[in-house]
Amino acid sequence: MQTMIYLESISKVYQTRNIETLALDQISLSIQRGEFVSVMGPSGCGKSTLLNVMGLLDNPTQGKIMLEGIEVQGYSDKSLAGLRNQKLGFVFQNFHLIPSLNVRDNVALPLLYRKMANDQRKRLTREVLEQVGLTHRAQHYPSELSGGQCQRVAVARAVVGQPEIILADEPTGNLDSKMGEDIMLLLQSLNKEMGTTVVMVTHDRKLADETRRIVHLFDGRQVN
Amino acid sequence: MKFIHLKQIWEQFRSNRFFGFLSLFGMSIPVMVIMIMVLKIDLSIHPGGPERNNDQMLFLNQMKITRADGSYAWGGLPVGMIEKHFARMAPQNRLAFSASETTTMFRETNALDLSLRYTNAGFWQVFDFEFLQGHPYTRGNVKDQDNVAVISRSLKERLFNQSEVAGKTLKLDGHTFRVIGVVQKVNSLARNTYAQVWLPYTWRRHSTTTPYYNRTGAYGLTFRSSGGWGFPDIRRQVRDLKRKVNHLNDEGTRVLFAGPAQAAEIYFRAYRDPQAYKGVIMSYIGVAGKALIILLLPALNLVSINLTRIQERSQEIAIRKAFGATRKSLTYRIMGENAVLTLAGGFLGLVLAYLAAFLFKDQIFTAYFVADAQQAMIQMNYGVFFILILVSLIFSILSGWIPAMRISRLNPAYVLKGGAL
Ligand SMILES: Nc1ncnc2c1ncn2[C@@H]1O[C@H](COP(=O)(O)OP(=O)(O)OP(=O)(O)O)[C@@H](O)[C@H]1O
Ligand SMILES: [Mg+2]
Repeated sequence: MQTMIYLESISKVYQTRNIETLALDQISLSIQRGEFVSVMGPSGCGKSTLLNVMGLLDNPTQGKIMLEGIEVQGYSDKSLAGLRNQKLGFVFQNFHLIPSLNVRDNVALPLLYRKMANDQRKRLTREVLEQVGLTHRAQHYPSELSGGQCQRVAVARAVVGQPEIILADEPTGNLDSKMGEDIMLLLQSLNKEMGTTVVMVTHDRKLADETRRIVHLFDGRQVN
Repeated sequence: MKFIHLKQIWEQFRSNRFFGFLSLFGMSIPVMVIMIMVLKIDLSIHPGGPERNNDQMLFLNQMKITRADGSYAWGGLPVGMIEKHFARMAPQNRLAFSASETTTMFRETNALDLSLRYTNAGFWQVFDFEFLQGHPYTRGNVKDQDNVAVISRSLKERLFNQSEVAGKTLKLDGHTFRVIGVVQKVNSLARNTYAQVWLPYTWRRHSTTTPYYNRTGAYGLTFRSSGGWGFPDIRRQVRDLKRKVNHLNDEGTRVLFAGPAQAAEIYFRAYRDPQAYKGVIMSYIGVAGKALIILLLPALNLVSINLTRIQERSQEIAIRKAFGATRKSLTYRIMGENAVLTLAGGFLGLVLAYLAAFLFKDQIFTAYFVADAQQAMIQMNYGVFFILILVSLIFSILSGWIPAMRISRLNPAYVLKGGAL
């Protein structure tokens, strides 16, 4: 098995005017290609921070990150953008859709930064919208959608580019159990059929139990 | 830029119409104002048509007489002074003089207001008229006060439709004139040549009872330089001539000429008292400075819009970054949005300028002694427009560049959590 994500004593300190918050404290973690990992822990323990660091959206204060055995520190802006675009798919805790774009264009966003023919981009977008059951909302704007629908758009956007790693921050948080189960099934099928590595933050014990591995965080530290 | 990016710029504009229109009009209104300002100056100095070679010409259209009692008079030049002095000073085909008048021509069913111009024969050699039919009148025609007239194409079309004018006549102020030539329509902004009918100046009634040298008259003069007869020669000869005329005058009565000067000088002087006038080049610099100040407004406007909007859009930019946008592509995108808005605003400004020029011809042109402002032919200066667009593009790109660089450097996680710039 190949190591997909490797973290070595990662620390993250948030420095605000008069307090320092140690959001991640010496986290070391290695995730194999094709794994499905849940991250659990109480609110404020550093789950989102961990995901952001893995997703190259934030720099750790200390420590080493390797993706597929290559250290990413010192990568140029262009290479980092390339990695985010090709290898990573992110589902944000609070969706972060672009309000001025409709559902279809929001979903197609990662494909926009790839060299890709129009037809192929449209086809991929259509397929993934179908998978999350939003075909009939393709022309709607985020402000016209329910929280659960936004969540599904966010998931669709993360998976449309068929990335090797999906980082999902509570992707089922706003969904009822049926819808949550559907999203979970989608992630599981990507994981099984395409071998996509999935790291998912969740508060739902039942969902976490469906994954092979659970990482517990407490106060920025890994506990087992 | 991929088409889809352009489409998203449109979406961006659509989703934030207020800012979009603000930048669009912020840009187009100043462009319109500058284009109108330039139009007025440009058409007055370069009216084209028969005056298209006016860079080889000096004009002397006005004179001033001051008397011992402190009174003074402004006006054109009297015909006597021209015949006795100017006509002898200049080569025959290098001196034009003319006086314009309006008259009413009564026809069977209606009356036509016409612009008349009384000229010498040299007028046709100094200016570059385009004859569509026939020919101009000669020195002989003028001297003998022959009943001959040249008319403009537009008048010909009104009076005689499409037919040839040979043998046609024209009745003006009780005299009948033979039409011997038809010229292309002249822009009414060509102040030294415009008319609908041109007649030998000997037809113009003038009082000859008073001495020519202490009265003003109705004529304007144009000198066309040649290789052997340059501007300095003309100026020197006119100076000598003034001295001679003043010798003839009573003690204390003096003649002053407003010229001879080039078209640009005449235009810029007309608006200023003599002390404020610092030469043609300084006047052009002044105009350019004014334009720059007017243009600075949309530039500042764009900068401030960009700064506020970039803050507002930091989320969007962070999201794009999270899904693979590079710093470069984000910077290009923001600058591209600015460029599109600027270009659109600029062209809208040009359209508005045309609209304003046609709707407000009178207001724009009559201030400058133009007889038939409604007849003015509008011709925008595309060179100036091009420079305007170029300068605003540079402004707008710079105004997008700095905030774009700043924001694209941020790490997305920070911005998405609500962090400020
Ligand atoms: N930009 C920031 N500046 C300062 N402190 C921060 C910042 N972002 C996060 N923190 C702090 O870091 C800690 C971890 O935050 P994080 O968002 O990772 O928690 P989380 O585990 O995702 O919580 P939740 O389950 O509520 O989403 C928290 O104590 C939080 O207050
Ligand atoms: Mg979180």
